[in-house]
Amino acid sequence: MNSISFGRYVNYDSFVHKLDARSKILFLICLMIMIFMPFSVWSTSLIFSLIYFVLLIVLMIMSHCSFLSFLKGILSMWFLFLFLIIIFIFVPNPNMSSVLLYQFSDNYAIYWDGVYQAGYIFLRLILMMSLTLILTATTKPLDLTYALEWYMTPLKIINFPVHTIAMMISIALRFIPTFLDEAQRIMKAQASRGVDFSRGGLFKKMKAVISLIIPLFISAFEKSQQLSDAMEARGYDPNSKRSKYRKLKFHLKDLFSAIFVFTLVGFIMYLSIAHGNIDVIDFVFGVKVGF
Amino acid sequence: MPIDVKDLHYIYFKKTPFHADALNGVNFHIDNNKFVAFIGATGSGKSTIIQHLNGLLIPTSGEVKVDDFILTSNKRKNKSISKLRKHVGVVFQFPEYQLFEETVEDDVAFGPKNFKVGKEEALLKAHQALLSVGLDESYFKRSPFELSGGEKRRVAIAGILAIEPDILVLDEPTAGLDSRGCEYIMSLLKKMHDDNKTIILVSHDMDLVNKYCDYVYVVDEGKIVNQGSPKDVFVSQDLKGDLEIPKIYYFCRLLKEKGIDLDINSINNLDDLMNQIIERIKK
Repeated sequence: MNSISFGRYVNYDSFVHKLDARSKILFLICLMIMIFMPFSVWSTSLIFSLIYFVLLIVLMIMSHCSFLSFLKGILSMWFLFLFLIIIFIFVPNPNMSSVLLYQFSDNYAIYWDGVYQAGYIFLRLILMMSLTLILTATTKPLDLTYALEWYMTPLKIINFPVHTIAMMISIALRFIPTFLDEAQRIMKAQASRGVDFSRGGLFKKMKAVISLIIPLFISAFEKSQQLSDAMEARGYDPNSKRSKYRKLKFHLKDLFSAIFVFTLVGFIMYLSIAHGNIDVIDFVFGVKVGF
Repeated sequence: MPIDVKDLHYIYFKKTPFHADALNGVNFHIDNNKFVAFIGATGSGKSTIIQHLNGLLIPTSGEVKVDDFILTSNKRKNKSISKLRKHVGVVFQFPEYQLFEETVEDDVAFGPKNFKVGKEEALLKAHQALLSVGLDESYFKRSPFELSGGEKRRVAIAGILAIEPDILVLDEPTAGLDSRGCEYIMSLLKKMHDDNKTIILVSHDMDLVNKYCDYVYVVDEGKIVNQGSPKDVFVSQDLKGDLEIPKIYYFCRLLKEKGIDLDINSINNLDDLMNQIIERIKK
């Protein structure tokens, strides 16, 4: 791993980092709901999206996320955008009442509305994804697991193995970097034997990947066997009650952020539900913009 | 093939929060047919140095020159890396983890095949390499995964030998083996060395280094802090980087503390030490 991709946990000491993992998950869900609140006037939706973007950037600066890697992440999603545009433009929509883009024949035409819809969905996807990545970039994977375990606690009533699942997730997360290291080591060893992972035809590449995957699987099985032995040797029993080394704690920060997030989300939800057809430009400037 | 390394710097995770200077200006020259060891504490940069020798790592700055092949930070100039890898074989720590084929001979033949050797010839080379590491025909068709640890390691080393490199680089080849396995691997390397190959070794086992190597580099914090023949390094100067010294010199030191001063400069191995002690007793 020579570059830090957007969303990988980096240990900074920011406000967002210090928030409790449970509140961050809750805020993420709330903000996602907010992003997907519909407005019927397109200029209003666009303006709100812009506001969300500004908030996102503020959040990114607060949490020391690199703006460059964020842009790179968006650019790598161009294919999704193309896909959305094609679907939204070419699938006929009987309710379309917007400006004609091109008339193919008497009963088939494409409209600007499709472009707008595709763009809007893409915008919301980017917002949603970025928020999630900010969460993972600012929260230790283990804390996230503990937070999920905390949210799943009520399921214990129906004998759902919450703790076992949480343990599985945390072990899986714990071993991702280990296996990345392992993969890199094996790749280097095979490169010394003349394997070129980047060049060559399909068959050669397949052979190259096999020479990586088989040793990786073998070491994974060995490691899991060792780990389970080590856990058992130290008396691990999935069904017994366990205390925790790391405790999640709500702080005053969490309260303040909660007040801010809930107010914002509440306001947007109120606007969307009660005044879904509001035209912000008309409301503020008294000008009608539209097709 | 002589190796020339000039002012080699390497930085892991450059321009990220994980930035780490691994090498800070390493210089050395290794002539043909030498038996050289790099020693140093864990994390001193030994393995990083080694990975530059066949282009697995590209220098952040400085130059690595192996015969005609030159590696610099300029990526466009480093075209012939795969050719370089044919001449410099690197055996990593715990190489048994790189085995993946169904039979031992296929796994060993994998290397030569990658360097565009025909199938038949690759198998022939594999058989030769396996015989040279002491695994006879009965092993050829077995699965590498059912072998013992020491045997697996020998198969993995054979996998590099089959490429027929001129320079053999090994990162801790004896780690985790019992003393017989260690001696076996080292005598194997000695044999390769007698066959006109250059052997470069990273090791923590000072006794083996002392016994087999002609020249030792001591690496500490990404720099070569000491070099010379094993005796020079272990006896004359104080050893940097918390290294232990070979048992025979340690024994001499203990004897000296008890008032028995041996001529340490004429002791190269266990036999010399014994002879000197016997002479002392006779006197």
